[in-house]
Amino acid sequence: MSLAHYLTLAIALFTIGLIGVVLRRNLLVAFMSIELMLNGVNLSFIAFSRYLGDMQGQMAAFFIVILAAAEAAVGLAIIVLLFRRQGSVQSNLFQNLKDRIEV
Amino acid sequence: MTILFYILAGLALISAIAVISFRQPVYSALSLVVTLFSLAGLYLTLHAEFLAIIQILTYAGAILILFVFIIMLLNLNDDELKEQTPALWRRIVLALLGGFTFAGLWWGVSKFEGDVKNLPQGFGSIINSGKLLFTEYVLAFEIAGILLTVALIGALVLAKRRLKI
Repeated sequence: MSLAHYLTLAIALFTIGLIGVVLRRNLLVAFMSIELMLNGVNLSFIAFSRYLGDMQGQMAAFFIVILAAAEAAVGLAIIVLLFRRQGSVQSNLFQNLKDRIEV
Repeated sequence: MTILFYILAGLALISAIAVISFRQPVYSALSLVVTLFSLAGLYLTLHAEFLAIIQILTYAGAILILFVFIIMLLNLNDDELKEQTPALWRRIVLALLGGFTFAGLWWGVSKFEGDVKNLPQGFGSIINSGKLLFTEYVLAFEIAGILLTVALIGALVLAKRRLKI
């Protein structure tokens, strides 16, 4: 398998994650899509690491996994808070910061 | 090797699409587990044994359990899971966004040939990863530890009902 195969898969995963973030209104699923995007980037790091014969890409991927763990903990806590406030996890309900123009 | 790649890649893609298309978040979380496991298999084909283990332990083990716990804790009913189908212009914009992202990135990477090099002994093994982590990357490793502590405290403070100071 060539490097381009792995990178194509990584890009496909990233694109699916991006579409999920934009498309889905459910905050939990949008959050999972962010995890998909992170995994796509991780795969490209590891593929480059393999084809350059250099371990540094694997180290970068390792730190991304740590980052994802921290992000999941804080993000899910925020989702629980939002659910307590509104009783729902639909992202279109949270528009308090949106600019309302009074005419 | 080639067959293995196509099986794992197909599994990862199908379950990734399933993640964003299921209405029930529990099904999405379970599909995400399949994606993460097939990615761990792909890491093994790339000689990244340590990262494959970390992927299963941390992602499939810790993060996804957290997701499933939160989904069950929130106990969403069918009304709250209902999403109206997006308008036509929204779908067109979304398809364009996805298409352009994929095409642009793919145009960038399709030139990489990447001849297979002979890897040094123990490439991607736990011993070599540990050596690198505790010598060259020791500062980043410590900062990662601080980051995890801060995230833990932050999550506790956020999730606590009322903070008495």
